[in-house]
Amino acid sequence: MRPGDARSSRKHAHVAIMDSDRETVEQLLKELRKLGYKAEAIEQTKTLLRKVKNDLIDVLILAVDAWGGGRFELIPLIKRLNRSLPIIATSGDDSLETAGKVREQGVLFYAMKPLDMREIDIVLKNALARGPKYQRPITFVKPTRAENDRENEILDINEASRTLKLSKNTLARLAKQGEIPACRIGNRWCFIRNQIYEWLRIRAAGNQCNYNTLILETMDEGVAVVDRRLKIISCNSAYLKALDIPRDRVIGEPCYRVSHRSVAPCDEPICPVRKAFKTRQAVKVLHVNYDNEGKERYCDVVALPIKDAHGDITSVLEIIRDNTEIYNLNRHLNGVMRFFARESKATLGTVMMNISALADENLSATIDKSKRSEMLVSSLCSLKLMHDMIRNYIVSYQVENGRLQCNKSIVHIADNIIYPVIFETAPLLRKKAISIDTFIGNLKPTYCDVDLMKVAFTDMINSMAKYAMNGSKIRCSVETDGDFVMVVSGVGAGVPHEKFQNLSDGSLDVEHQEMSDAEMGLYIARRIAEIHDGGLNIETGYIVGDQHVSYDEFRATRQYSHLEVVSNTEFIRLQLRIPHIDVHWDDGGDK
Amino acid sequence: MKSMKKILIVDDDVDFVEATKIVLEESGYDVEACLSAEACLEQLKANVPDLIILDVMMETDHSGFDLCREIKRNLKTKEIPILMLTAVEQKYPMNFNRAAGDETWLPVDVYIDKPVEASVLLERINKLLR
Repeated sequence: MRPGDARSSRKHAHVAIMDSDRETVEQLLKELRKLGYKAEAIEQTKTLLRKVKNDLIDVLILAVDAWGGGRFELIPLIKRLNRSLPIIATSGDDSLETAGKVREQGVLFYAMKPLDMREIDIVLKNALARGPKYQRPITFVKPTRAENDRENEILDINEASRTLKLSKNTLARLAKQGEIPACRIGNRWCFIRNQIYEWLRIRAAGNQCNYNTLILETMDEGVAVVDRRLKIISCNSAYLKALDIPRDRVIGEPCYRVSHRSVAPCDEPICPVRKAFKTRQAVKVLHVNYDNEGKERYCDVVALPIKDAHGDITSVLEIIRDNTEIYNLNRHLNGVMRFFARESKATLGTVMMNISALADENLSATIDKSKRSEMLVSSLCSLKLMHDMIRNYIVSYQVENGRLQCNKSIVHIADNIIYPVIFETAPLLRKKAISIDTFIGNLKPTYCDVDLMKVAFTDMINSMAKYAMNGSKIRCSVETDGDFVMVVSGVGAGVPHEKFQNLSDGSLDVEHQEMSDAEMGLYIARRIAEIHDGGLNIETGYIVGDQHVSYDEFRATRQYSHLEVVSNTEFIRLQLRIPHIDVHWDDGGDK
Repeated sequence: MKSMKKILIVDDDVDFVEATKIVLEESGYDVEACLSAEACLEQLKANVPDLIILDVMMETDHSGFDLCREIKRNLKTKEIPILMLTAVEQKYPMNFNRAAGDETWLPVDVYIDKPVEASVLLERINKLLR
């Protein structure tokens, strides 16, 4: 690796540290950041596992003696989620027993405390050099127009000879015999690149000639023939289409590299092909494959052993049935069911209690007039929140399935979005005695989808109202400062750090997590901003004196370590920003 | 003068607690509320109510189940009738109503699925406190 490479890989490398020793963590964070790594401290196992699962960490430094020891038991779990993640285990316990236990778990390096930063840096560099992210990229890129042109490129005999690794004489002989697709122009043989790849593929299928290929092509499902070395020797067009890969990048490649984008084969118990070779029986398993964009594809993989004339298994027919759509639909239905389960508990429970009491003549007569009004407002707010949540679920479904339409027009933000939303959310704010200060700055007409922006702004206000203290004030400022910027901020009580953390690092999985209404709302607001080529920035933390300090900064900075966390001095700041496009009102200017 | 019966609501849904509190107070009960199982145990050390209305999914998905067993194990609180009011069935589709009363598994006196009408709740409470 060249020095420049090391530097650049460091710059992008995400190193996570998990240790209960605050001093070591601070020291490591400081040193690693100085060396150019993106380092972060993780305290909660749940957060760590989520980040490992979502592949957000490149190297993990794990103190196995943290929180009273036994942390090495986490390693198998981490390995199960991401077996290629390099782990550097650290410990202050110099016993051979601990070292043995840790080594058994397959860590990359075991470092004794106090840590030697030079040693850690060398290990990190090695880990990154090994890591798939920092090696030659193995992700196949969808062929661009230029690549398509390349596939149809006409090659002369020299280039074809180099491509096929055959001598020019042999190539000329094969061309003359009509064995390889070629044409003679003047006294020169010409070849088309993708035709000779196709010829190579058929040849690779060995003695089975074209018949197998033709049979494979009759199947609608993706099918590949894999040999004992797990290399693909033939496949059909449906297989290529399912994985979105050109044929020349499949034939001769290991199947795990093609279908899983993995550098190592799967373990035998979960690899149907290896199992089929071993058991000589047909095997079916559910596999998670990845497409070109890194999206998960849920596939049933059936491996059928193919016997030769002697009854030996020489290859396995791998059939891939892509069930992603069904899987996604089930996942979404589960999400909807979970949502309704929660809502019937919370929102409908409250509404039913209030309305049934008011509707009952005897009961209603005993309730004081002001309380009756309070119950009605409470029901109205609950129903409004439920409406917003259902709408958010629908929008999230549309976003996830690429069905969300963005109909942009020239919009006066204040009149068409800000004031109507504030009016609609007034009962909710009144219920918590929250007031709202609106500051409309230098506002130019903005080119956006008015309905979607209303959804985003409503979700921002709802989230703020949920976490803001009773009787507090929400500040909402809107202006055009090059971009169109909408900021909503307030002082809250007990903003759950984890929820905002999930949103802040962009790793929220809508359908897998038990998402709260506030998380869902902010997720939708962010997606709407992104559809407008913008973004949503979420800041939350503690107010210390007159300073706003983020949770991470608070925990990582020594000067705050002696301060007690006071639950009612937390802040939230949501900033939605979309690019401003210079447009003019049809009616002659800003209102 | 006959003293008002004390009811303790244990539920993490503030809006639901507020709504139920109004209904019960207006019907002549003295109502207190706790937003978690942990807070309830603290409260029970100081005051013993005449009835507990208990939700299930609070700190965890099974907080209410653990809490009702804890209450029935404690000599000081084991006689307090418990009315379990929850939507846990929506999440775990089991027949909890049939299990209600089982001393080991679900030692509650009444099990009601949310949402519930105010009059139904009052009727069940009145019956339990009669």
